[in-house]
Order: sequence, then structure tokens, then C-alpha cells
Amino acid sequence: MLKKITKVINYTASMLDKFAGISIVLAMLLVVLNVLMRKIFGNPILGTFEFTGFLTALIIGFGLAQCMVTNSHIAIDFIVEKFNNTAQKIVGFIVNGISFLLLSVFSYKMIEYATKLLRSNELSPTTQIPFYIVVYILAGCFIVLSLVTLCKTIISYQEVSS
Amino acid sequence: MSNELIGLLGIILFLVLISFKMPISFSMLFVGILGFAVLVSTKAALSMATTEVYSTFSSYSLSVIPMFVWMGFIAFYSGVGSSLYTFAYRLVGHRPGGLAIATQAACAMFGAICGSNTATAATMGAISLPEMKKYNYDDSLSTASVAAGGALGVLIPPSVIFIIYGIASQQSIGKLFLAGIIPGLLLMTLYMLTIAYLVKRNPSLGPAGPKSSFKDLIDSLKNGLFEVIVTFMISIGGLFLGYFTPTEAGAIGAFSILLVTLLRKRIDFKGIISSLKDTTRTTAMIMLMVAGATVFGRFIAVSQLPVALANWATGLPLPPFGIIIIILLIYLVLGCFIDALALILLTIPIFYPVAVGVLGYDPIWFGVVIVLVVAMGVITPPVGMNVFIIKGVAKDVPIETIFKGIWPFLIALFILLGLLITFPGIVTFLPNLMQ
Repeated sequence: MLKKITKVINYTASMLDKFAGISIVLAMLLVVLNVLMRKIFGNPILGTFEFTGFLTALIIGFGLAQCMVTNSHIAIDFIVEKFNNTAQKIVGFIVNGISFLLLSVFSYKMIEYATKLLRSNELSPTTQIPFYIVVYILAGCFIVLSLVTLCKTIISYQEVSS
Repeated sequence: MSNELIGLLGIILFLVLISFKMPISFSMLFVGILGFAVLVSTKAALSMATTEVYSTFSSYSLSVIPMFVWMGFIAFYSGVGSSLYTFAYRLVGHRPGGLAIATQAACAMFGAICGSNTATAATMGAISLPEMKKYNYDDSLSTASVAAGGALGVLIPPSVIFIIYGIASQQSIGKLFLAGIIPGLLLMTLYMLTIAYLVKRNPSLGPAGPKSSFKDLIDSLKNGLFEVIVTFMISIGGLFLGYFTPTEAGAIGAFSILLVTLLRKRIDFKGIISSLKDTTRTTAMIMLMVAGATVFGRFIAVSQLPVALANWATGLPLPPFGIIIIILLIYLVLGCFIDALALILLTIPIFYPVAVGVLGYDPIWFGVVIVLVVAMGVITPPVGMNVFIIKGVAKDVPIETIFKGIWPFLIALFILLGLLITFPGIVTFLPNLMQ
């Protein structure tokens, strides 16, 4: 059962990562086009600053879960490696547990923040795009990241108890 | 309990968490929220963290990071790194130690289109180590020279660490890029002299390779160097000439290298997808660390620890020079344990106000010097990131052998540090021209 759930979550993370890749290409093209329009025609694309900011948020948000799946977040392991096997597993479980708690609380607060922005109807100054859309997407990305961490926590718990 | 003590306890908790293998970004976020909650309130801490993370993620100025990272990965997947090495190797490979010397030149050239020291070390390691093995180079010299050469990517623009320092300290990224050029070239020269000296003392460390014809040299100049020159001239050149902002330089650089490598059929669709995958992962890792450091920095600021530290530093019976040496020693020690980027992010709110605000050091000079010092950390035990990357490439070489070969290069880094402290003009000369 856990294997199946992990597979689904990891698949979601990899799909989100593809969106992150598309966002990078879009951000690059937008900035390049804006420079060309400004330099050649003296007419920059309105809202490039805001769109690039939104796209950057999406690049990072969409890439977060896959970064966790592939263990790409920088961590120091030379101290833990000196511990015996059991101690390593216990430490792994505690660290994963704390990370899961942190990320789930953070995801919840992100949803709350997006809802607040929705209610106040805050819009970006130039393009009038509602901020809450991007914040809701980011909250969704953090939820997937929390789920990846939850799977890692359960796996490390199983390792400790076995 | 005083606020300063809570700040100090927060730093200790952070060190404990990272020692237990918690990702550095998560540790900073966790301690930042916890500390702010203790000092202000839980509600304020969570609210501060969400807004800080969102504003970091959606920051226009930080959007330059994925662009420069992508530029480096396109160079890697298109084989530009390999061509650069071929050029340098045909130029000096026939001399004793020539392949290791060529590696330094190739690292410097690759650093000119790649913002990451680890990417530079990984690329050059994969290309140059098999060649050096073929010509019976000493394992210690070959692996250590590539690990150390990777650090050139930190100083030679574009550099992700300079971007982070520039944004965290509100300094011009263009000036920081300019400031890194002379120290970067000096470091390359010092590394080359180090290799030449080692090989002169013991010729068996680096036997001479085959001599290449002039035609071969010109051929390799056309392949590889062309892409680097075009990308560097358009992207970094345009930035220095004031045609566009650093963010635009990143996008233009990525676009230029993509276009050039596509036109010259050096990269295919698969290569582009691989470069994008690596970029999204690296970007997410870096940016979560930046966001975590921002939250951590808010906690440190509320704790008043930087003010207490500044008061302590100014009260010391030492001239500003003595205090800056103490700060650099702290960076040197911490750099052995904490990742370079994380260390810069973590310490800017603490040491920058002291070094620049209180002691009056030039912010650009301070940035270059601390980046150089943390760059030493990427090759020193126990957490020398570049050494671990090279170990991943040269699996049959024990890690101790690589660390053993690092010492002469570390001495070169110290010589450069001494030069930068004695002659600050080495750093400030080019940025001052920009004014």
C-alpha cells in the first residue's frame, strides 16, 4: 500500500518538475523578448517584471518535491555516518518527522495566506493579476513536498521498528 | 533569557540539526520560525515565514539564478566543456604537468559560462581525469587539481554565490562580477604555477602528453571556445556595458548558448530536457536555501545578535584589520563544515554590518574575500563538496588521496587571500572603472 502511495506521489512530483522546466523556458523567452522589444523597437513588454517574478515562483515551487524525491537538498552526512546503523535510522526518522511537521504547518499557513489575498483581492500593480493564484499553486507544491516527506518519515519509521 | 542568548541558542540548534543530516534549508526555516516565535509570537513567526518565502520565490532579481544555472547545464550537456579541455590540452598538454595545467585553463573558461563551482568540478572531472589517467598522472595531483580548479567557477563571472551575496547585501551584481575577474585569473595562474612547481620537483607526478599540430589547435579553437566567447560576450559583456540588468544577462546568456549549441548541432532535445531537469532541481535547492536563510536572518535580526556582535567587535583592543582577520578565520572554520552558499546566506546578516558598517571595509572587497575564503571550504576536509564530486567521478581513488593532493592548492588560495588583503585594489580596480 505504502509503495503504491509513494509511487503516485513521486509521479506527481515528477510531473510538477516538468512544469518547472516549461516555466524556465517561458521565463527565458519572456525576458529575451522584452530586451529585444526594448532595444529594437523602444517598446518593452508591459508586465515583464511581474510575469518573470510569477514564473520564478512557479519554477521553484514545481521543482521542490522532485528535489526532495532525488535527495538533492544539501545536507551534511559525515557526522551521522559515524553513528551505528540503529542510531542512524532513529536520527533519520526524527529528522524526517520534524521536516514533515514543518512543511505541513507551512503548507497550511500558505493556504491561509492565499485565502487572505483572495479575500482582499490584491492584484499586481501593472498586469492586475491576482496574487492568490500563484500563492495557491505554491501551497499545492508545498503539500506535495510534505507528502514526499511523510512517505520518507513512514519508511524511516518502518526501518527503525524492523 | 536575553534576546541575544536566544539568538545564540538558535544558531546552536541550527548546527545540531544540520549535523543530524537535516537539509540545511529546512534547518534554517525551522530554527528561523521557532526563534521568531519565541522572541515575538507564533502567529507573527508563521505569518513572517509565509510572506518571506513567497516574496523570495517570486523575486524578479533572484530569477537570474535559474537562468545562469541553466546556462551551465546547457554547456555541460552540449559538450562545450569537453571542447574547452581539448583546446587547453592541445596548447600545453605536451609539457610536463601540462594536462593538469590545461585543466585549470579549461576550468576558468568553463567558469565564464557556468555559475557553479560544483558543476565546473563535475564537468572538468569527467573530461580531464580519464585523460590524465591515460598519461599516468599521479592520482593525487590529477584529482586535487580538478577539485581545486572547480573553485575558479566561484570567482569568475557569472557566479551564483556573488549573485546571492549581492542580493543579500544590496550590492551591485555587475560590480561583484567585475571584481571577481582579476582574482579569478590570478588564482588560475597560481594554480598553474603550483602544478609546474610540483612537477618540476617530481616529474613522475605529471609526465608530458603528446604534442599537437598547429592545425589541431586551431580546430579545437573553433569548436568549444567559439560558444564560450559568444555567450560570455553577449551575456556578461552586455551586463558590463549596461545594455541589460543581471537578470536579463542570465536569460540572454541561457538563450545565446542554447541557440549557438542548437545551430552548431551540439545539443539535441534529450540534452535540453536533461539540462532542464538538472536546472529545476538545483534551482529548487538553492532558492529554498535562500528563503530559509531569509527567515533565519529575520530571527537573527530580531534577536539583536548582530548589534551585540558589532559592539563586541568594536570594543576589542584590535585594529579593524585584526577584527577582519578574526571574521575571516571564523569563515574559514565554518567553511570546512557548512556549504559555501549556505554559509554566505547564514552569515551575511551577522558579519556584513560589522565589516562594512562598523569597520568601514569596502562591501565589494568584503564580498570577494569571503567568497574566496568559503571557496577554500569546498576543497577542505571534512565537507569539501568538490572533493566528494571528484570522488564520484574517480571512484577508484581513495578520498584521502584527493585530500592529500589538495594542500599545495590550498597554499595557492592562501597566497591569493594574502594578496587581496594586502592589495585591495586587485578587487576594487575593475568595479571602480564601472563608476
